[in-house]
Amino acid sequence: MQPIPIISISIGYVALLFFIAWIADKREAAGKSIVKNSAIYALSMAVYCTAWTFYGSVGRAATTGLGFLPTYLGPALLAPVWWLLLKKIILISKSQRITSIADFISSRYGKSTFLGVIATLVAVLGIIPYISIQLKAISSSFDLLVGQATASHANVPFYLDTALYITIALAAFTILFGTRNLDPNERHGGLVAAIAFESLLKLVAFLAIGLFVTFGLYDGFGDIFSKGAAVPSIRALFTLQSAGLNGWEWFWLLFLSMSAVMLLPRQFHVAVVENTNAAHVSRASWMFPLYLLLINIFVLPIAVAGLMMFPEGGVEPDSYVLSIPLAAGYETLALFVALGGFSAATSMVIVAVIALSIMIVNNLVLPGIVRNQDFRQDNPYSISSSLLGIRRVCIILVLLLAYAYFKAVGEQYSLVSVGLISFTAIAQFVPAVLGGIYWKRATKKGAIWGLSIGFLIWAFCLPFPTLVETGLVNDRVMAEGLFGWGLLQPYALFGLSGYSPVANAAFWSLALNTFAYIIVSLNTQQSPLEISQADLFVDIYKYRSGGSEYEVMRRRARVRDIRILMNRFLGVARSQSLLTAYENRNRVDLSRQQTAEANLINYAETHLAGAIGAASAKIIIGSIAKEDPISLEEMFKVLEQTKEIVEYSKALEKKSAELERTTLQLKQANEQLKELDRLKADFITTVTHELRTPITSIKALSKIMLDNRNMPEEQRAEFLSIVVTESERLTRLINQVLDLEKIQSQPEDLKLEPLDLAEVARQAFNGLRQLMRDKGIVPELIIKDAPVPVYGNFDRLTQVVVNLLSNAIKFADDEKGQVHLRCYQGAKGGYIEVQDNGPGISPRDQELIFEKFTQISDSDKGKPQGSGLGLFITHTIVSQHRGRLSVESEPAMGATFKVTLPLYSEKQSNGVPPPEQ
Amino acid sequence: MNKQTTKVLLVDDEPHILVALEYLVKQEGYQVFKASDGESALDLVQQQSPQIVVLDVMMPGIDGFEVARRIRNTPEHQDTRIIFLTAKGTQADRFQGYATGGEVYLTKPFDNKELINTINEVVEFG
Amino acid sequence: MTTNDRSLRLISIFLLGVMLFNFPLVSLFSREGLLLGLPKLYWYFFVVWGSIIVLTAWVARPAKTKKD
Repeated sequence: MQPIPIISISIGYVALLFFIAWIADKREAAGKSIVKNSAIYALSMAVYCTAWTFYGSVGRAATTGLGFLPTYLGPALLAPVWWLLLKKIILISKSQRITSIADFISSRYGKSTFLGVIATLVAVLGIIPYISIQLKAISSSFDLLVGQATASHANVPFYLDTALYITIALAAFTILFGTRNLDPNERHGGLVAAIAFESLLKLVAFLAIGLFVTFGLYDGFGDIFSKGAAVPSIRALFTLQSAGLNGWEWFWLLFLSMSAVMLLPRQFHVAVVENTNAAHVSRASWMFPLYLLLINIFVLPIAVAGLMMFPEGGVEPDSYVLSIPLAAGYETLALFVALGGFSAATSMVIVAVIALSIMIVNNLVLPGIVRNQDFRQDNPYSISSSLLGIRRVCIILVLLLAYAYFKAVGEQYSLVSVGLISFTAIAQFVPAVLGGIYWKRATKKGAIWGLSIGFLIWAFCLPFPTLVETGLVNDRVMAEGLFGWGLLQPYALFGLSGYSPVANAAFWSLALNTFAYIIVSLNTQQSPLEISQADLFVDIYKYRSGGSEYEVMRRRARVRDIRILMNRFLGVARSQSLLTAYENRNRVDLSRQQTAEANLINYAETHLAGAIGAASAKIIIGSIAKEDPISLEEMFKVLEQTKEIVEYSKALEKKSAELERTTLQLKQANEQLKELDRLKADFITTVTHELRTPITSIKALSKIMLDNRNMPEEQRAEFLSIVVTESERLTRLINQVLDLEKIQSQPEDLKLEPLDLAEVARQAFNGLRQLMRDKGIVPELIIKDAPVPVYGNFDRLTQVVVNLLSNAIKFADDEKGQVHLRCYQGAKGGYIEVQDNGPGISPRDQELIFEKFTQISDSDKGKPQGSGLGLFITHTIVSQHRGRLSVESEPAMGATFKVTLPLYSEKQSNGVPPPEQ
Repeated sequence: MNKQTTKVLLVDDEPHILVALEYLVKQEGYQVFKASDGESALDLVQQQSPQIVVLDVMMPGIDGFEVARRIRNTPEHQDTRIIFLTAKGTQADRFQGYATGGEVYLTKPFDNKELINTINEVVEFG
Repeated sequence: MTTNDRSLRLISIFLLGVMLFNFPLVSLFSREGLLLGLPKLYWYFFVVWGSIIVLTAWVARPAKTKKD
């Protein structure tokens, strides 16, 4: 075939792509977008399938059989959870106006410029080999079609090398495609449409060659496989063991492809940045795997057919898809297939390079430029157009780098082995991204350390050895290790050997990356901005539904400055429309405002981030905003305050509980007071009654005697004796009341002296013995000879014993009354016990009897006996002696009153319970 | 009305007061019965059907108010006149006294003349 | 089907896939010989793969009542 028609067809194809993009853009502008649907979305994600898939899978299958599959099984495996994982990343990215995977990582960790630089370097250096294999695929397919022997490009002077011209053409193509828009933060609707078309084309082309081989050259699957099975070397490809694949290798291949399908810059670009609706993810999560399945069905049959058609070798397995139709004489089919391969390669190159250039500009170039400029000067010159210029330069640079890599090393490796180098590099993003959206505690330093360590290990284990082969590095390193250290051999790092370089590198880089990420995160602190970003990322659903802006920055800026900034970076028209939208939404008139509120600053920053990346946006906003970030101390203060509030509310709770308790106590006290009041009223009634009774008798009898002067002498004598008795009763009562008053009001009056308690008991007992006998009571004094020394007032203690005895006499059984008086010395002091065999005292009454005015009403005896003062007086006296008065009783079992007094030998101040009141 | 045939029951738990009451009422010519608690008072009312009962209130066992209530609730003693004589002198006590069917409420210490006059009036005018 | 329900089912599919697409289960089918003209392993991968796609499509289908 002549080169000219091939080139014309290629150019025609590119023109078609432009046309599609143009149509799509037009339709979108008219509001009838063709790209805003889930099928286009799924197809655009098929940019995953590159020349690696188109040419490389067959090549891989020809050597390892189904070993080519993990690259597609991984994404197919992960797709079901896209609905959780990818959707979350999309929502975060939309709310933060994320422009690339590097931007995502930088933004998550406090919009760190440094992290953005590292992530960009990892992405760019990691992807260069990947782009280089696309160049290789395109140029070698061109060579095949024009019939040139696959001469080594390495030996051709660059100006004669087709690969160079292809590279330059691709650069021009990409520039035209990716930087047509003057508005860089807009999505590239046209690009997506073109990519989707390319995905469709490469699928159709591949299915065409597959069907041609399987059903044209052979008689179906069965025919190919049964013929292939006859050849032992081919039969070996039908199992994994004979293809040299074990579980460990298999696992890493799955893992790498899973990470790649989401985190490769171009995948992130189409799946996240270009996403128009997060809901598209759910359909893409089965359509995309279906696409992969379809494009892989014929890989093994083609490989088997190729192996059978070119048994003696000499034909690169990577080129079977072209070599087979060419050898069979189907040039047109071969051209169509080559177009499919061309579309696979170009779509990858275009999207990858655009994604990388955005990354380079936003994360490498802009932070440096904007840091040292004052954008406040009103300058008609708009940055946004120069941004596109910078981006174009980046595109050319990236492609030239890829070409250089291709020239230096790419040719000696198969497509897949080079592609896997890139996958392993990209997998280094996994800890930072996954941790970033699920682990709030992850810090910037953790991400920097993890990513750096992973990247260094990757660089040492995978690309570095490829440089050895080119002679750039001494090959002794491979066998003896770096600096002669045996542990530092690239293919057997830390002595781990027996696995493929990719599995080894993936294991070590990811293990140490993750380890460093976690350990450093746990041992470092987050800045306030990191904390807020971590919150926004991890809790995106919460913030989305709540719609609340999270403010950690207290920033102030002039509205005028913000307007200038937005004009410079977004263009006047777009900036005006954004500000108008803001005014409408928030119902404010910005022209009336001098100082911008925090909301406006955030709004401007988010939209700037969409154009120039989070880190750069942060820097330029910082240049106009007076920024007092809430320092860690302040943050702690806020936390402290929160804590205080919590504590305060807890204290309040406690207070209210206390209040409740106090209220209860008050209530009880009130009840007691009421009870006392009632008791007092009762007492007064009682005392009144007690006073009135003798007075009644005295008055009536005296009047009778006065009115009947001639009454018989005996009767008069009787009456007079009654008057005397009642008068005595009256006196006694009055004395008791006075006693009580005296005892209560002047306790210090009490003269305490050492005395024998037994003697007190004896005297009181003897004084009442006759009375008891008169009442038919059997009295008993139980006392030892030994004295019971206490410290007290003899008269008062006598009163105590007499009172208790009188009480006992009153209540003792009418028929067989018994009263026992005991006095003895015990371990805790001197004791007096007075026991009767009366009706006893109910537990409720036991609590009350020592109160003033209480009278125990006795249902049998009816009217309370006595004034109700006796026990109270007794209790008061005992307390004044620092003693205790207690009662033990059960109804119908009699009662025992017990007085405990401190012994004399003890120090009065020690070991004695305080008086009970 | 013949004072000789008029029966007066005196009820008080204080023996000395009973002594005074007995002397005064007997002197006036009435037929006197004495009780020192509610139970025996009710027994005597049952046995003797006195026209007049002079009743103390605060007594062991059944108190004066209860005695009065029981007398009032017995149909054959509907006509018995009750005079309360008590140290409980509050308005509430008086009210309760009248509520339970007492004709007169006198407080201790009483005036001898007033008591006799009251008894005479009650006997004469019902 | 609630959101949480759907998440759990999708995660279950993922875990099932991880199990089915890894050793040692994969090696069970890595046997010599053809089944209906195709290598056994070839059958295994594409059947499991297809099932996962169908399962995912079924679980991730849009809710009938448009509540989102």
